[in-house]
Amino acid sequence: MTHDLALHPGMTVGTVAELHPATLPVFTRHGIDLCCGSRRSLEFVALAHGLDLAGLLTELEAARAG
Amino acid sequence: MVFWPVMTTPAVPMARPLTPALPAAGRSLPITGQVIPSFPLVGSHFALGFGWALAGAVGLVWLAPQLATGSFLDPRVLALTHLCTLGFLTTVITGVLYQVFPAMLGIGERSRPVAWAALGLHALGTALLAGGLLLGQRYLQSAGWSVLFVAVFGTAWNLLPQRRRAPRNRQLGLYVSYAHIGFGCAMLVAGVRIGDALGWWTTPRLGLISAHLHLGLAGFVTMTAFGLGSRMIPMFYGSPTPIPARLDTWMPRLLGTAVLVYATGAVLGAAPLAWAGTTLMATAGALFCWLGLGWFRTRARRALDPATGLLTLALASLAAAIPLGLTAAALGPRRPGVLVAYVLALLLGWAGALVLGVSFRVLPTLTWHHRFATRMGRPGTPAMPAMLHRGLGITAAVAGALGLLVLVPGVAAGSAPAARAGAALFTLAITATILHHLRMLLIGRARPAASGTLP
Repeated sequence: MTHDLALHPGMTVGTVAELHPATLPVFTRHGIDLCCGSRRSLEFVALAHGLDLAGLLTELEAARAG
Repeated sequence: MVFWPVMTTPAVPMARPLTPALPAAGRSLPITGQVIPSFPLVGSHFALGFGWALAGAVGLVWLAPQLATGSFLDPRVLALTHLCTLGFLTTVITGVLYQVFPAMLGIGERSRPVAWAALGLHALGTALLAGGLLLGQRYLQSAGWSVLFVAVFGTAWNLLPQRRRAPRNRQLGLYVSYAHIGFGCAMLVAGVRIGDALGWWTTPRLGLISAHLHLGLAGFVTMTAFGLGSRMIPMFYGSPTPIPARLDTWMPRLLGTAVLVYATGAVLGAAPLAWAGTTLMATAGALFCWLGLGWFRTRARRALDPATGLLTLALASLAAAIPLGLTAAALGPRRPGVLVAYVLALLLGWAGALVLGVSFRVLPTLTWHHRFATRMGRPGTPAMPAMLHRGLGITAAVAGALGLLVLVPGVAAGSAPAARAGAALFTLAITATILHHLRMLLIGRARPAASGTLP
């Protein structure tokens, strides 16, 4: 199976962290748990945590670009 | 480099629209992945475990003077120890395993009814055994041991064979398998002790008790904690440094060998063998502390939250338990206070704080998903951060740290007032944790929260 490397709202938290390890601190900063909610999509966790999805994606992209 | 092998997610939708397609209110969002952990099962383990923890904490305050005098063979102290180990630690650890197997190994338990039955039997067995120890009723102890044997066998049957079928992260499963071998050996030794008490045979009491303690606390609890901790602690710290693959391979072998060598030496009364095992156990502990220091230094958020604070306390307690254990081994029963202080640092400091810390990170997420995932988008649905109560969390972490700082040196120095004060503080930590978790069940029930709600 191949993964699309670009970040998009449908990607799960676990997949993002696995493909782009540099994004881990972003999840930690927002209290997004990789143990129990890693199978949820970015759009789901953004809504669940009351975060702006576009802002979260920007932060993740910035961390990924390093 | 594969960074988070535990996080592999099998199915990723590729052609999702970029505009967030939010679910209709009240509709469940699908979870990508094949096996969903059972929240009632995991939550019930935590609830029962924390019930035992509260009973143990009250017992700790009650028996603090006995602990300060080093009376570790006092039946009440033995009952208290089993409330903490079998009741609190083992029940919560088993609950975590029922969450972790589906979430990290990608495979669930073989049978959910067996999991429920094992939970019930484990609680019954713990009550019978602790009651038997407290009342000096040997047949009650035997009954408790038998029921516990069935419960532990049930859990092992339910989880351990799944490792071979797991699509990922089998190394974590290996830690769990080794840990259950340690648990089985601890139960075997306990059975031999009970047989001695019933007059069936004669055995060296202190050697067997020491072997039993280390098979349980190091062989089972610490082995599981090393496996889970080497994944969870860096994840919770947000550290980019995972456990090195080679060390991950050798750690369970090192600790497993250490515990078996020590236990054999203790049972046979062979001092060189016991010392070899002690040295190996200390080496494994020191290696894990070194890893923990690396995770702590590279953490993403400098400020500690209740979960990472308690995890740091756990690592510090493990570091403190190593010299205490070596000192206790050198002094032997001549200084029982040091021996008891070592066990407290390992049991309450290392394992207890670790379990509390994990609960502060895992339970809010699980509870929110269980209670609110299907209500997302409805007015009044709290956001996930609203599950955390900062005051209670900080109280738990600070009281836990202060309690251990007073309790362990107090017991080592033989001071009953210090031991009681430390025990009271640790009880406060347990109480704050329980209140925090109970609060999560009440959020959003009566009326919509005034703040922290989703749009």
